[in-house]
Order: sequence, then C-alpha cells, then structure tokens
Amino acid sequence: MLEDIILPQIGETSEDEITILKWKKQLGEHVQKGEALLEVDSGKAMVEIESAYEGVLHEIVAAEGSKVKALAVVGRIRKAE
Amino acid sequence: MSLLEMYRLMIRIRLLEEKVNDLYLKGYVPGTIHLYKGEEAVAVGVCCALELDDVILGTHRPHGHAIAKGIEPKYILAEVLGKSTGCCKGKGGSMHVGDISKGMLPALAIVGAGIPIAAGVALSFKMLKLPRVAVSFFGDGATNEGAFHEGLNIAAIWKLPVVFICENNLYGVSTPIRAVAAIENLADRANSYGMRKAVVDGNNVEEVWKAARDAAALARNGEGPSLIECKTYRHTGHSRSDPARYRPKEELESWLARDPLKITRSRLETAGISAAQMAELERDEARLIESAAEFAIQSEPPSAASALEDVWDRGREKMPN
Amino acid sequence: MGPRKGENAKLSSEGAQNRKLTLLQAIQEAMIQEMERDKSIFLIGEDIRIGGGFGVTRGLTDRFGTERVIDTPISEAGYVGVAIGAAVMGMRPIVEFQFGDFVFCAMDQIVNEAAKLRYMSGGQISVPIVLRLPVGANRRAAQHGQCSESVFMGIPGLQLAVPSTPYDAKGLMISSIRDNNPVLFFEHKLLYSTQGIRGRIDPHLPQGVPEEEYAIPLGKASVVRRGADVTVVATQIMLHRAVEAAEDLSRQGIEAEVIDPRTLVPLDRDTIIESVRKTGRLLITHEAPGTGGWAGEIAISVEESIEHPIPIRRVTTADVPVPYSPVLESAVIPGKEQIIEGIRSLF
Repeated sequence: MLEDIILPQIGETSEDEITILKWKKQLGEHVQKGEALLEVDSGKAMVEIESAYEGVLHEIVAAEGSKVKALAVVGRIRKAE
Repeated sequence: MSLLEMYRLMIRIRLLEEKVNDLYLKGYVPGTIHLYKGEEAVAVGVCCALELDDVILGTHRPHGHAIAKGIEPKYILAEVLGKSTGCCKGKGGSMHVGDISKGMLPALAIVGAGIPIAAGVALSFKMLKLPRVAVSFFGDGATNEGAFHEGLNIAAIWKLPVVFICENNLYGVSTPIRAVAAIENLADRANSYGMRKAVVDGNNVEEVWKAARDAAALARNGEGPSLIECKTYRHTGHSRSDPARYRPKEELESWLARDPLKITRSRLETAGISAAQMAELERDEARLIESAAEFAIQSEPPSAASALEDVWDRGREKMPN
Repeated sequence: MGPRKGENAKLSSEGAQNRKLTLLQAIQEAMIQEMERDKSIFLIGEDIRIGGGFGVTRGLTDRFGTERVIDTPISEAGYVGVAIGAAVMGMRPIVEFQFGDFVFCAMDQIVNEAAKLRYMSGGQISVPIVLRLPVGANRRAAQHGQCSESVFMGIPGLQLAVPSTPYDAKGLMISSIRDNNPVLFFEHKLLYSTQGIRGRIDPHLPQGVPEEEYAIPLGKASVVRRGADVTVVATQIMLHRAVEAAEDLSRQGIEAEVIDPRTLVPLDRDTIIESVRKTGRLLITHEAPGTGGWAGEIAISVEESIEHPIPIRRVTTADVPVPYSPVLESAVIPGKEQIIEGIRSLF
C-alpha cells in the first residue's frame, strides 16, 4: 500500500517555508525504515529526514529546490508487504 | 529493583522515544521533540533508587524520567500528541509531562528553573517531617544558570533532603561544555556549596543506581543534599531541528558503542539471563508501546473551551499533599 | 487547621470603626492570625527575622520560631523557587522582597513557573504563594521605588492585590493567603504608617480594623466616595490623593466617585462600568509609568462595555525611572493638583 511521506514540523514555526535540498533515494529505489530519505533546509540548519517506512520510493511530489510547509506531502512510498 | 527490571524500563524508554520519533515523522506531533535516547541509564538508575512518593523534577527532555517514575506510556504519548487524554490534558505537551500522583511534577523547560523548586519540595518534606526526597534532573548547561547556584546553596545551608542529578551529555544544544565551564567535572561545583558530590558513568545503570540510592538515604536521614554528575551522551540532536553536526564523528561512535542498553544486556548475560528471556521482555515492551501509540492516535483532542480552564485553582484551601 | 471566620463573619461594628491600626500593623495582624490558624503557612525572605525591610515581620520570630520565619541568602530566584516547590507540595509560603524592585531578580520563577505550573500540568497542582512587595517612590531613586504592577498584570496566572487602607490590607492579605493561586501583594511604602483615608469618604466604609479575621474577596472593588459627575479609579497613594482632589473639587461643585479596585487581577470591571454609566466620565490614576500602564487596560475594558463613547483620561507618572532628588520625584509623579487637572479636563 502507498504511504504519504509527510514533511514533519522541522521548522521553528508551523509557517516556516522548508526548502527541499536533495532526495537521497531515486524513484523505484528501496529504502529501509530509519534510512535517510531527503535533505531539507529548515531555515536554521540542513536537516535529514529519515523514512518512517520500509518500501520503495514510489512518487516524488516536492522536487529538489521547491519550498513546502510542514505537514505537506512531499512524496509517496509503496510499503513493503 | 533487579537489573532485569531496570533493563525493562530502559527498553521501554528506548522504544518510546523511537515511537515518538516515528509519530513525529508521520506528522502526528504538533511541535518538536527532545529525545532521551542514549541517556536511559540515568533516569532509570535514579528513579529505581527512589520511592513512589519521592518527587522528581525533569527538563525539556522528560520522557525518560516520566517512564522511569512510573507514568504509563499511553499518557505520555497522548500528551506529546496534544490530546485530552494526555497526562497534562494536552496543556503542556512533550516538554511538560508529569503526574504528581506518580511523584513527578510537570517537567520544566526553563533550563535550571527546577533546581530551587526541587529544594522547595524538599523543604516541605523537612517541615512536615516526612521521610521523602526530592530529585532535580538537569543538564550540563544548567549548571551555569543562576538558579543552579542559588538552589544548591540554599539546599546545602538548610540541609534539605534533595538530590541534584546533573546529566552531563557534553553539549548544551551545540555548545560543548568545555567551552562554557573551566572545570572537568561539573560535580566539583558542589565544593563551592559545601555539598557532597559524586561522578558516575551515566551509561552504567547499576553505578547510577548505587550513587542515587546512597544519596537518597543520606537525604532521608537528615544529612542533606548531594550533587551527582552522570557522564552520558544523547544519541540524537538537541531537538528534531538539530542535526547535531557539531559533534565529531569519532566521539559519537565511541558513545554509541557504549550504549547503556548494550552495557546492561551484557551484564545480564553474565548474570545468566538468556537471550530468549531478554527477547521476550523486548517484545512485551514493544507491544506496550504499540498499544500506547494506538491509544494516543485514537484519542480526542481537547475541546477549544478547555483552553480557558486550569489557570486558577478555585477550590477550598487544601491540606498538604 | 483551626476554626476560622471569614467572608461570613459579622464584623464587630466597633472594631470596624474605632480600632485604629496602621497599614503595616494590619498586614502583620493578618499574617499572625493566619499563621496561628494554619501551620502550613511560613514566612521566607531576607532579614525577616529582625523585621524585614520595613518592620512588617517584627516580633514574628518570637511568636512562631525560626522554623516558620526563615531568613534567606540574597537569592531572590532561589528562594522564590523554594517557595514555589514548598507551595506545590501543600505549604503556604509568604515571600517578602526587601524592596519590591528586587522582584525582577526572580522574574523567571514568578512568570514562567509560579504562574504557569498549574496550567501546564493540566490542573494537577496549585501554587498557593503570596509574594509581598514594598513599592512606591520614596527618595531612594530608581531601583528602590518602582511601582511594577503593570508588568505583572499581563501575565496570566498571577493575581495582584493593591490595598490602600489598613482595613483592606488585612482583609486582602487574609484572602491572599487562603487563595490557592499566586498573589503579588503590593504594599505602598508611603502608606505603611497611615491609618486610613483622610477626608470625606462613604460613611459605610470601615475606618478601623476589626480584631477578628475577615477575608475581602479578591476581585471586589471598593467605592470609596460616591458622586455623580466623574468616576475616578485610583490605587494606593493615588487613591489617597484622589480623595483629597475630590474634596477640593466638591467645593467647586464637581462630585467625583472614587473607586479603589483593591485588586488588579482579578479586576472588578463591573463596579467601574456601573459607575461610568452613571457619571459619563472616567479618570484613571496610578503611580506606575503611563506607557503600558494598567490605566490603558481599564480604559479599553470600559470602552468595550459601554453603549456610548465617553471622555477618558489618565494621570500617571512620566515614562522615566524614578529620580532621586525630591524636586524631580514630585515633577514626574502626580500629586493632588495633577489629578484635579485631569478631572477638570473631562468637563
């Protein structure tokens, strides 16, 4: 099943614009739970977001360079069964 | 309290913090989180040396202390998620968990502020002639706050039944303790106040337990306060917005190798506890944390009207607790 | 705890009229009577064993012993924190600041802990502490003469008592001690030696101090003088000056209704609004500096609640630290004349 990859509340406030710096996995690539999935700029620091699920990176919604707010869906993982 | 029971509590904390992180990644946590991973032996070693009606004060990193003092994981997780079923009705959040019926005041997020307050709790015990002890947990950074100095001095001059636990994890956010303290052992600050002190390996739960037990006994016996410095390390950054790049890789690796869970596991093996026993304990705890998370996720948020409640206590005058 | 009289006591009318105590003595009597009744009450502060900053605690060590009258190091944050910890566990400490200005050394404990512990805990605990602050300009310059109540009014979780008379001081101190929440109890130094308001005030108001215990509810203003032409809200030394001003104006045909809020939190807005509906004019006067001063809070509270706009003015101290030289002090702190001017400007 597909799970949303949510950008957690990484900024100091919920209004902060977070820049997606780099996806550390490619579409179709396998990712372990806890493995680094993407790098973002919170405005305060460059922070790594790890995957909450084990599975395959199915969709990238927020491309590198785009700005999103906390709780935005930035991608989707097809969870391992 | 056996080593196996202490191990169980440490596992519970570790799994709770991993679950908190998981819930955070999935967007369930409104704010940030300060994880206690790596420091479990301090909270567990100290709290297992205390009685239920001893009172502890925690910091902005309080989940471990809350578990160690006996607060159920589901009420901690519900509070972290801001639900009405949380231990503080969603009013405090992650940094203020506590349950006075379990002997934990709401944790305080102002660094050092709990130190004189713990002395005051101890004063009430002394005045009421109760054989109870207060414990104040704080980090290395807190020992530079004025409240630390004022609180320790007062506790020492009045011989209050309080134990001060300094969890020295080497950093205040990004600032290494050696940049802000000209001494190697923060426990030496006790000398300035004429106070008893100890330095222990904060990743060895038995060592922590022994030191806390001794200090609590002295306090209960009217012999005044102690300062115990526990050398430890947090596995994660200060909060979730801190990637902790200020820590040298070798330093992090050497502390991860001394994970308190690992140390305790090998002690248990030596004592004859089987891998199967430990695995069953770990499964038990994993189930407990899973159901706690379910409870928290399914719980209702507080009503908007409840935001105006609990500022004032309009009850009749109360007798002492 | 022993039996107590309080809100329902029938106050001896003789005591209420004739028994003269100074404001200082009234506060002391309140503390003594409460401490006799309730063993969980104790005093904590600097030099209080010999009487404290102004003699309010004189004699209490002999009466109650050193266990209940505790001298502290010069550690405001430390001993306020200690008082909070003791209060959370069920004791009822009364903290003295030697000068109210030193409260700022304990700001974190008061604002971030005492005011918020109950709320953050979801109502699990309470903090029944009384913090006594001697305040008011008195030729000791800026760091020994502030009126700081405006600062605290904006912190939810703190109650503020500002008595002006011995009768009110005793009753409010008793209520403050019995209240389960923090109370900052502001004691104006220039009023310590006064025995009541001079001048024509409402004859029903007690002029003396009954011997028995009585509690004045927090959040209940006192209409000190009745009049139909203008409402004057004033506290502490300004209340006394406002009554004097009202006397003068009465001779010129202006009758002022003078109201003493007695507590700023909780604030008795209803009494003020009811008066303003009658008089149609409002003057607010306090010794605290004007900008950010609580006169603004009263003004907007009233404005929000009345049907038609009315003239509102305030007479307050200038926005300066308190100066030393008496000439400068009286240049910036309003006297009776400035209050009269302020009232006149509403007509």
